[in-house]
Amino acid sequence: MLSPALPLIAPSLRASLTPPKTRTILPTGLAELDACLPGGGWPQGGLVELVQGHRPHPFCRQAAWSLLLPALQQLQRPLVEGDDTNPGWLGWVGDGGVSPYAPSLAAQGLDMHRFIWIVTNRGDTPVAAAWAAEQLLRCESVQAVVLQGLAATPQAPSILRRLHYSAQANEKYLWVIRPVAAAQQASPAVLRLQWCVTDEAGLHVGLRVLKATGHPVDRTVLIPQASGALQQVLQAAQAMRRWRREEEAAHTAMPQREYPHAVVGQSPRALVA
Amino acid sequence: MLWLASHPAHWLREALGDLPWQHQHPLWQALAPRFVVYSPHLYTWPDTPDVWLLDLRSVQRLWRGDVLRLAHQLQDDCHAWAPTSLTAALVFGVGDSPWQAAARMAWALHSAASPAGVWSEPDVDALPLWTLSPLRKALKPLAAMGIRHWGELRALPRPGVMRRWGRVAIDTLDQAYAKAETPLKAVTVPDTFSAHADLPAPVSDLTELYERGEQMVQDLCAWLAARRCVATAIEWRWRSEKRQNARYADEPIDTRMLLRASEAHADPAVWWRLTQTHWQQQVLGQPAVAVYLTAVETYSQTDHTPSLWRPVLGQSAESVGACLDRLQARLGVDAVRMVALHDAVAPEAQQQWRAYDPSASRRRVSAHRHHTPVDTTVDPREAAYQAQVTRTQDVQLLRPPWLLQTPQRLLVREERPVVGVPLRLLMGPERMELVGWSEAERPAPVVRDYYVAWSASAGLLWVYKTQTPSPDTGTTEVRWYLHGLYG
Repeated sequence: MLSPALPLIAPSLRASLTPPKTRTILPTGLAELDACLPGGGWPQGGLVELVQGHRPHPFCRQAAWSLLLPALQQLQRPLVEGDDTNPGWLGWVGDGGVSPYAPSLAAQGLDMHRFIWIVTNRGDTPVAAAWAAEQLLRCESVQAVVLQGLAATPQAPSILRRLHYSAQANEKYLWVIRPVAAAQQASPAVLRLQWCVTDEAGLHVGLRVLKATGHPVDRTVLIPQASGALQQVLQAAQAMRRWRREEEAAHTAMPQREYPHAVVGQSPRALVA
Repeated sequence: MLWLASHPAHWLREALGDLPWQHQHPLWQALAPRFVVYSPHLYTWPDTPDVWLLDLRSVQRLWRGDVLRLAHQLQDDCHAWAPTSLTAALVFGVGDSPWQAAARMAWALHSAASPAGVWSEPDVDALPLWTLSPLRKALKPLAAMGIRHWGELRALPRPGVMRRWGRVAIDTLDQAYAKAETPLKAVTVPDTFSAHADLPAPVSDLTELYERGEQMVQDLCAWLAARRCVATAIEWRWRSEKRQNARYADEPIDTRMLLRASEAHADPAVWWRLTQTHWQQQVLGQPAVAVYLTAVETYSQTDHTPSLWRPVLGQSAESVGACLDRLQARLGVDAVRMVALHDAVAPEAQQQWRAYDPSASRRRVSAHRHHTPVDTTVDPREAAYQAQVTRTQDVQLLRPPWLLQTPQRLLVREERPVVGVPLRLLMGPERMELVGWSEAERPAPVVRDYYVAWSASAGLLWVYKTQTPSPDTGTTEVRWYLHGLYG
């Protein structure tokens, strides 16, 4: 008697198996990262979780700005050229120890007049920060919210689920930056990334996809540690140092010949000394 | 159909127990601003003030002459605003004159089984004569003649009617058939708003007052809508009973709470949400016996026409100002910060994160929200900001996105600064000379050499070095500070 019941059950099953509504995708601004992410960018209307790498130093900021800045910048751009009705407010909820440096961010294209920094005190529970993030998500003019430092407490998954639903309902972008312990916790996030290795020169940091819709991508993408212009300058400085080292190595490797002439016979190194 | 008359059903009057009907009933009075939203011309009869008469002649074009639809919407609105038995039992009559509208309403109250609703029948000539109150004395003789309806009386010769029942009969008939203006008393909305509610029992927890409070906010916003005003500040006040107890002797009898909003508005949902957030933080010193609400700052909004479309249910998106007001109410004023940029040399002086100031952003936010034409004159602060951005752009591109407001001194090991491990300097130095204008401000020029440094444990850092000559030993002391973080 199983088969006659099947057609009755099937429509509801089919409804649950239908693919979810296609999400709007915002390019990350980093071509290599786009290639790794499902849809090719940050998903709108869903929680994106960024988990920190190895236990970081209190002063380590794990390239959060260089990862998010191109996207945040796009969200503040006018929807139509010359039209300034795009409200494009951004909210950043985090602790107050280190402040965002507004002149630098403004130079890199953010409108800091539409940037809200919500400072939660150390005494506040994680619920207070999450509540603030949820209020910002509900606000009609706020386009994106970044919540920093939601600890891996037992209630964190339910907090995240609530935030995810809020982002979904309001069709906003939401990034949550979490400590390394959170990697072991279940999460309702649409996309989870984790910072991992850093290259020796300190110019790039690795990013690994922990969870994403679609087939798994087991690859580590290197993204620049610093954003834009500084990265170029640092790369140039690195190249120059390498060139100097090679030059020095070439000098030391050169055979020391004795010249009969008094002036020419001295090696450049000896002259400097 | 240009007049609308309204009155609650009889059974309700009896149920309320105020016999005879008290037209001063607070809810009935609070309905007046609801009516005024639809048309500014609201009247009552000079002798019986318990019927609202709304003149729709000036607004009928907005509704394409469909006054019935307007009446239905007004009925829905009243009930949605205060879902009580009074608003559920409202009876509306429409007609070409106040008499017609009131007569249809009275006819429905008298003869219909369930009178609540909008009545546009019976026909004018078929309206009963008892609905014309000035003809009360003539009803009996007329009934003896077989004249019971308006049309039958109107068919009689006018000179005869005038001789028999006086000029008042002819005038009333003319007014009823809209041939002459009806003398009415205009209802005006008061200039100031102040509402109060005496509580049946002393209340020490504000959550017990939610229902009452929400109703008062609704009244406030109805008043604002009727005055075509918006409010930026309201004040709640709780009165407590004077206590004999010495413990409470120093406490004031009144507790006041002033709520300011960054945006001027008349939306009950926004005001109530802000009120609720503040109430959650408030602890009453003594139990309150009465609660008062006053509109403190209101502005006329004659240039802005509110939408007649009702908001879609479930769409409760807030504006930025209202959201930040509530965040400040709960997390504290200093928790919500916005930046101000300054023209200075020292990086820490170039920015100042300040608590969000509602008054500063009021103009900008409200201008944006209502999509009013933006002022073309450039705000001097905006110009300074743009100039600052352009001037410092190139240098600023190399600066970190995070800044320590107070630079942190670093340990030095083998002449190298240490953050976890000794730092490797990648770029620099960039020299900054900080000179104060006054001796007190900064007695000697300070020279800072900034570097971009790399620490394997802490990532990319922005550090600086200062060299201060030490007078005792004659040597220069080198100090390293951490000032910014990349990433």
